[in-house]
Amino acid sequence: MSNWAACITVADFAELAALRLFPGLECGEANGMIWLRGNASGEELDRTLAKVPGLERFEVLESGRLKSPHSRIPGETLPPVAWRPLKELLLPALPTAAMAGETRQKLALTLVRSGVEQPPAALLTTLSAWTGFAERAPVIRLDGLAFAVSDDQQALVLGKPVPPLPGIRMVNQSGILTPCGFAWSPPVEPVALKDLFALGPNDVVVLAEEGTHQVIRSEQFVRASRSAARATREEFNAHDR
Amino acid sequence: MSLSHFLVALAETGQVAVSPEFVEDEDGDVGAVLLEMDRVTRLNLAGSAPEFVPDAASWSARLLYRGCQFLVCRDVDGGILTTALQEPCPTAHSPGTDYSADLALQYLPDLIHMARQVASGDPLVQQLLIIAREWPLSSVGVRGLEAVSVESFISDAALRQLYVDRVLAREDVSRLGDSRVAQAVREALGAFPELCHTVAEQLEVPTAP
Repeated sequence: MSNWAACITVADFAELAALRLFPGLECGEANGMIWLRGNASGEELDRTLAKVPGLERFEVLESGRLKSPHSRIPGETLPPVAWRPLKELLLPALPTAAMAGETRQKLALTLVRSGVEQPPAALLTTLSAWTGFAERAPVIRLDGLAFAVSDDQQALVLGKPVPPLPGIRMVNQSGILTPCGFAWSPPVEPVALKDLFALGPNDVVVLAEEGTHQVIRSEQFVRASRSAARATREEFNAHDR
Repeated sequence: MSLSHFLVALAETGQVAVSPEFVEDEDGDVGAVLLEMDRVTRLNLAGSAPEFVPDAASWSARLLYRGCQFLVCRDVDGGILTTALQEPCPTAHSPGTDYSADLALQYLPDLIHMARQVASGDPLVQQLLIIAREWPLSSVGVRGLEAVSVESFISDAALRQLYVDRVLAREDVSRLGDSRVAQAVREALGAFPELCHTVAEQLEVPTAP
């Protein structure tokens, strides 16, 4: 037989969550109030009950009437309630994820001078320079290269050894190409830039000194060979005529 | 399989079949197939390829076909084999002849390799080695050849580069005895001896600092 009871407004029902793991606690709703009772007592339970804001406690007398600790005279009786275990009615849930922070200030990605020495692994040159080299180069110097050509007849050659041609030699860090002697700022990991530019596994982005960038997809590259260089040159020649 | 089909299969897949009949009739499509092989090969040569010499190309195609026949028909008389494989090229050595003959003879090292696997002392191997010695542009990578002469084609830039490409690809250091070849190989490697360690070590190409 329970020797204490308590009530709280329905609106404050969630405040009882701290009591959820105490054994034997039952609750139910009656007349717009949530009633709580238990058959156990103890110092820890008393302290937890005392911490619940808006909870009104009563002693349940043998007559079934309720007596407030602030009154000498028993008052009302415990209303008829369909009692259910508190832990069945108060179910835990994962906390709602916090809203992502709103970016009010963005840092511009820029190229800055770098003292870190890195070997070149790409070359930005002209189509005529590239085809002039590739059509006569030893196969062993072409085997590790791939190239892509833009409409304005700029050729980007990837791979090593970088052809000995005039142009801009570039460092390749996981698909992020920067001119030799430069690094991007802020100095985030290459993978962050790959996400930023939505690069696929073999796509590259060329970061230029003047602050522009160009994404080149993997399917736009062809393996370097004399015949591929000739075909590219002839295609552009036919287009020019 | 006719000679033209043989050449198409050779160029496209590298897997060929040959007829057991030793007939000399050449089907009419051979010329067209060789012209197409010339067109494709020309696209992949460094610079401008020499002129195409149809007679030399046809001769080398027939020679390779016979060589393949003798590889699978093991019961052919040695005299027939020797006569068939000793047919001389109808045109004298020149960059054009060597280039045209190479359209088919470029597969000679593979044929010699297979013949050696069957029997290294076979008359077929001996005859194929004679051909290999006479056509050094096509026989890069074949073991057991003495010093070969590259005079007939080394002056042609495209064929010289083709030769150098093959020496590097097959790491055939036996071809480095000629100073012109050695120099061309050095130029191809440039400052990157790591591209072909075996040849670079033979030529003592310095490593980049």
